[in-house]
Amino acid sequence: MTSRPFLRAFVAPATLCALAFVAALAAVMQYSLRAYVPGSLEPGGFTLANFAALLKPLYARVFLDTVWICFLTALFTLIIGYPLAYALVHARNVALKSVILVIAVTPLFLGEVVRTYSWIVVLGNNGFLNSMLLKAGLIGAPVQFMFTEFGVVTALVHVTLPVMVIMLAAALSHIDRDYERGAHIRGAGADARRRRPTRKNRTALRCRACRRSRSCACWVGSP
Amino acid sequence: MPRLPSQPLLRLLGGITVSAILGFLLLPALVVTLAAFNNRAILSFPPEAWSWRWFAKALAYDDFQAGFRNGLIVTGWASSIALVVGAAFALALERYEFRFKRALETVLLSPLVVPHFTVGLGFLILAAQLGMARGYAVIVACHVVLVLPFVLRSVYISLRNLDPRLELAAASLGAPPHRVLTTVTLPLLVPGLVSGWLFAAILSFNEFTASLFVTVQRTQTLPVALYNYVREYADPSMAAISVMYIVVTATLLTLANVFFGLAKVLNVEHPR
Repeated sequence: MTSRPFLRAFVAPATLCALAFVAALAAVMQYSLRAYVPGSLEPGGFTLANFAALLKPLYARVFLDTVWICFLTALFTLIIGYPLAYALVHARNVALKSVILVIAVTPLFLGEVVRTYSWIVVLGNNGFLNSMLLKAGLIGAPVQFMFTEFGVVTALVHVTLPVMVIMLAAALSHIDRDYERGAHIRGAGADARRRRPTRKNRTALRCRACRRSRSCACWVGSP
Repeated sequence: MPRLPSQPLLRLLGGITVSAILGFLLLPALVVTLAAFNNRAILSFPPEAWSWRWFAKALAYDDFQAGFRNGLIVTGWASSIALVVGAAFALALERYEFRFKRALETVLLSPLVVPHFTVGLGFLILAAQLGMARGYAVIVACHVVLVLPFVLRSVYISLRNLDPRLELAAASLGAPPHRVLTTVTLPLLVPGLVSGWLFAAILSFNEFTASLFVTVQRTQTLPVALYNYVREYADPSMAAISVMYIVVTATLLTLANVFFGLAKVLNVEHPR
């Protein structure tokens, strides 16, 4: 049967949206090739000077810093995302499961401003963490957490964790439980049971995490 | 091979690990709540006196009120348009083969990976080049593109879980396509549609990076108003409004979970 009722009506609005998006990206592309005219808001003729300017050492350092922070973020998000995804998929108690799920995905839905402001309150020099450490006598003077690699990675892991948990949990939940039972019957310990059948299904997921939140990074990270 | 710890011990360790991770996720929300109820105007932990006054101040602030109203206008339009567009396209995606299907799908899902910064800048330049005033139309268009992937995903997954035999049965009993759509397919899709709309609404209401480019003073949405506020003032009104934000978002997500099964929509449940 090849009848496709409403095909046009279904696809046309989406096509319009796709065109708007492509046009917006094309506008950025086109703008990136225009010359900067000092003292004027209107760009000048076409030029490659803007791209040549990217070769400055300053930008190279920023770029390398970004890659390094992305790497750390992805690594730590994977390390702490996996147990959470595993707990989410394997929790027997329905209430517990929904608590984990809601807590895990909420950071994704909070806006950058609220989320980042909250981290400033936690990490600032008069913030929660420093106050608690001072009270406990573990440190003598406030430690600088803001604007450091530690602060940026912490805030970034917090945002990227929901994406990681959702993707890992989606993959974990589609592994047939019979494999795990099989591994158990063949004598594998709990640890091996967790490791063996899931490894293959997981490889594709690793590097997807640190793309969401540039603005968060530049906010916590900018001096 | 080293001896493995016993099963209950492993379970306990797992429980502690998961609790610690949940604590990390909740930490900013809890701390900002403490800060919001602190009577003093500067940050101090633990608070010595409690008060509601920052909430009153935040609620009375003109820019926040205007931002809230603008946000509702933008969110209402953007999430509803995204719902219609996304649901229609998800149906076509699941049911039909057509030219440029994969290309169209890729373009529509790519706002997930393109920085919102770039999308916002793109819409700003585009609007300027088309000579459009920076009114609601540009903001809504921008938000529709940004939230569309979430609607698409949620409707698509409910479609996959729908039994196609129900539609075939209706068709074989003589229902024309539009009746099958309105009496069988759409009613069965309601959970996916509602949760897709809810996702879109929450994301659009909270969208900041792209909104910063496409809004002006008159049309600024709440996150932009918050950003402008926090750049100039440092009192805990910002914490108070953050608390309201967090509570509303978490409540909506909980409701979505209770009524429509978030786990199913996010595809993280064992298929049984």
